[in-house]
Amino acid sequence: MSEQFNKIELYVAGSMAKEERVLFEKLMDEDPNLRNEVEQYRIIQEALEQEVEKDLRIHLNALMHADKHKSPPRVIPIWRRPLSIAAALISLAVVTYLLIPRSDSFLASNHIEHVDYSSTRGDQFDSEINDGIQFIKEGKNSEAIDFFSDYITRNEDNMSAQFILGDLFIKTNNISAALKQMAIVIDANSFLWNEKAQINYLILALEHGWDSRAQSIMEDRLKNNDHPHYEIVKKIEQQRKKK
Amino acid sequence: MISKGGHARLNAINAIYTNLELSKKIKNHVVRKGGDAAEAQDVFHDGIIALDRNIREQKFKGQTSIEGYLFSICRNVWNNRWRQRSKMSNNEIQDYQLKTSQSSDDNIIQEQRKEHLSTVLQLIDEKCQKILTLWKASYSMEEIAITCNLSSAQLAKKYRFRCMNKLMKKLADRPNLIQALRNV
Repeated sequence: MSEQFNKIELYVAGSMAKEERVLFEKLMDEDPNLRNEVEQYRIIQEALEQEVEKDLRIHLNALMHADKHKSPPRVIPIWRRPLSIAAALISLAVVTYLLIPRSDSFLASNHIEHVDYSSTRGDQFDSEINDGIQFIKEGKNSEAIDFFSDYITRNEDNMSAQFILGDLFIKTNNISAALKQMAIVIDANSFLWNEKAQINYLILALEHGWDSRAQSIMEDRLKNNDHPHYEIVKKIEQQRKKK
Repeated sequence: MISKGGHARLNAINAIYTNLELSKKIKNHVVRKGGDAAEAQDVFHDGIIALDRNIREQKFKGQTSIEGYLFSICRNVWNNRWRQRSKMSNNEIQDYQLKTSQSSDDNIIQEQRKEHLSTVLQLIDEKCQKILTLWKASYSMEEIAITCNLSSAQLAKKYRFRCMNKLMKKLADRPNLIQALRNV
């Protein structure tokens, strides 16, 4: 399997020598299992490329956001190799958007803003997402995630749905996806959800990868000591200084 | 730098992004050719994403400067967008409606494909998703080991193969998903 897998990788990458490629294609013609494996590998490559591009787009949006707030992007460098970039191209800072394993320390303090589904107001959410909320109330998080993931592909402007999906990702430990959702809500400047998304973003970023967006939100919050989140953000700032 | 992958790639992308002269040149081009500021920003981002992909796939061989290459990409991105827009402003109403509907159908199909592809990665756990995504973004095995708390580059390489095999097996068990991707 390992040798065949290596050949599939070389073939799909277009790195095979011509003779070997002709031979491999002949094998594919004769062996449907091999053909299927090549197709599966191609699909996976496309899925991964989509993910890389999604992450890069978030990274570029973070840089744009940092530009708008006149705050240079900052990074915690994980790989400390010396860089040799031409003088004309050297940037002041780097933003890291890597996924980092989850830890519970700050989340356990219950400062994350979750959605309150116990409200008796019938009009709290659009009726279209009632089915999704019902899944949540029944503890069916996986079905709820499927529902809201599908819903927002057709209703990307519904920030309640976007925030709920982020909240679900927090509950199911998919922190990278949760961060992306909170970023969507923040970028949309949702009147209802923006502040909750911002504090959640800060808490998640503190544990899983600080970036320019988190820095910008923190600095903004600290300007107003009357804000309900001020004390929490002060704690976050202190934790940041310890790191 | 981008071809080295990992953090060197990120550094290079940030350097390109913060090259004010280059970003201004690209955005001014879009605005001169009928776009607005938001479209110019979009085109700039799309251009960097395409540049990154082309370098990782070794389609850019360094024949021109990075700046020149990026400008060409962005110019093509904008030309394509403009062509799409021009098709939509056809005088014949029936043609307009047909082209609008075709364009919407194309978008729906594209979105469906994106959704199916997202489902593919959900077939494996987050750690494997992370390892494979970092590998795809051309991070070295040393960097992947450090980021994913693995003890060595060798172990990271093993995990990469293991995760890829796991994903291929899981995908093979989802013929409906594969068929759905064939259909879009």
